[in-house]
Amino acid sequence: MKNLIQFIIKFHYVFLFIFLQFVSIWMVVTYNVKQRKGFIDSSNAISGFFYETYSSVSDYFSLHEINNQLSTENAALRDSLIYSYYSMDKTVDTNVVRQFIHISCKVINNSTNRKYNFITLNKGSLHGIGKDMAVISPSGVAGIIVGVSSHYSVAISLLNENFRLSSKLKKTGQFGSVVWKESGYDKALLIDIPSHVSINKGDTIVTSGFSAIFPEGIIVGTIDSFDKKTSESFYEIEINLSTDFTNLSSVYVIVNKFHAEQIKLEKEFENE
Amino acid sequence: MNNGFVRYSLMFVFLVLIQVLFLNNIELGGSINPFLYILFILILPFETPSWMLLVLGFFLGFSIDIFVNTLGIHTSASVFAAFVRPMVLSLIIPRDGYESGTLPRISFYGLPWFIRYSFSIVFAHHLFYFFMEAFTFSGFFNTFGKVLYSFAFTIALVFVGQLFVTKKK
Repeated sequence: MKNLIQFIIKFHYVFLFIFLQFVSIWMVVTYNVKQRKGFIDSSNAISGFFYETYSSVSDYFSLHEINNQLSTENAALRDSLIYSYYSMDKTVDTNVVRQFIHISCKVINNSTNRKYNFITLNKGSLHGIGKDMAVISPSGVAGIIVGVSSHYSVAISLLNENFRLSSKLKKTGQFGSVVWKESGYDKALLIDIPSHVSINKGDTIVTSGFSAIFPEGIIVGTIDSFDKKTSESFYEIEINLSTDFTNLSSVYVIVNKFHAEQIKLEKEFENE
Repeated sequence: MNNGFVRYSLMFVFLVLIQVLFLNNIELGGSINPFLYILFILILPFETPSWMLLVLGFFLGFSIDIFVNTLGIHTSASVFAAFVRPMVLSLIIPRDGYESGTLPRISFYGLPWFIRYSFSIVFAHHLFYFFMEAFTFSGFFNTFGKVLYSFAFTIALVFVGQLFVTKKK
């Protein structure tokens, strides 16, 4: 017994190392499994505060470009308003119910160079943001909210190996999934498109709207190159993302008011 | 001791903030970040007990992890670096040993000594970090390439930092 205690005292340093390493690896493993649950993430208050202060300074340097981006988008939105259409009769359709609401947010932290990238936004549950909501940039899909605190939220970026998005070819409506495999900040892969469909370079990929997270028809990107192996029944397609993740600044979180309803209905049949 | 405590605490906060606010936004060659924060482990005095090194390493890595959403990866890498440090120190011990009152810097033990010291610890840290991040040995050379790239940048920054310390003295 005395020897044992002496042994422990002599090598306390190695034991402490093993213990701390064990704790770290436990964190890594837990974190990898429960990534979508956003364990301790940067939505917590301290790091949120630092990131917000930092971005309030750094934003000045990109004001010009962002203004251009926003005004282009404003113009496009004005185009789609009722008053911009010439109409013969002024009847308003009261049967239309609003399904999607946009909440405009600012990106206060974002990465593109890791295997698992995340985006931190400056609004949280107080502003009506919840888990599993879509995040889009003015030019296309950006991510999905995975964690919220009262003032901040964290989204899993499209540039994350755990990200998977149900999408379709705009032209033919054939649907597949967009995934990202460390393929660079401007590229992603489109999988599960059967090889009998005819596709061309430059074809547009949009969201399918199946997931109850993204509305249908939001642009994801365009086909950059594709490859058909004779033995495989699916294409290997590389796409150019339409969102510029290196310059993500103002984004919209999309709230689907029917989300809960769709999920509940689908759950009922999943168990059968 | 008290004065030193305050100084090292400030250094800790400073290095963590530099790392998460600036260095993490530097993207050279697509996926390369320098990890200057590990400098904290390098500059601690010789007298620091080994258990304290490990604990400090743990909190250092954990602070970085919280900011970059990679819970555990930086933590385990910097604990590893802290674990390696006493061994490296005893392997490269100068003929007269380490005198009390000196610090692990170029100005005290010269350039060749500091090169061996910083290269081994930074390399150990980077190697551990990138393999922890990949969590696999497949794509070994790809990961190893990242280690070397990032290593070169970190070392460059560590030496730039040494210039400042030496000047002040």
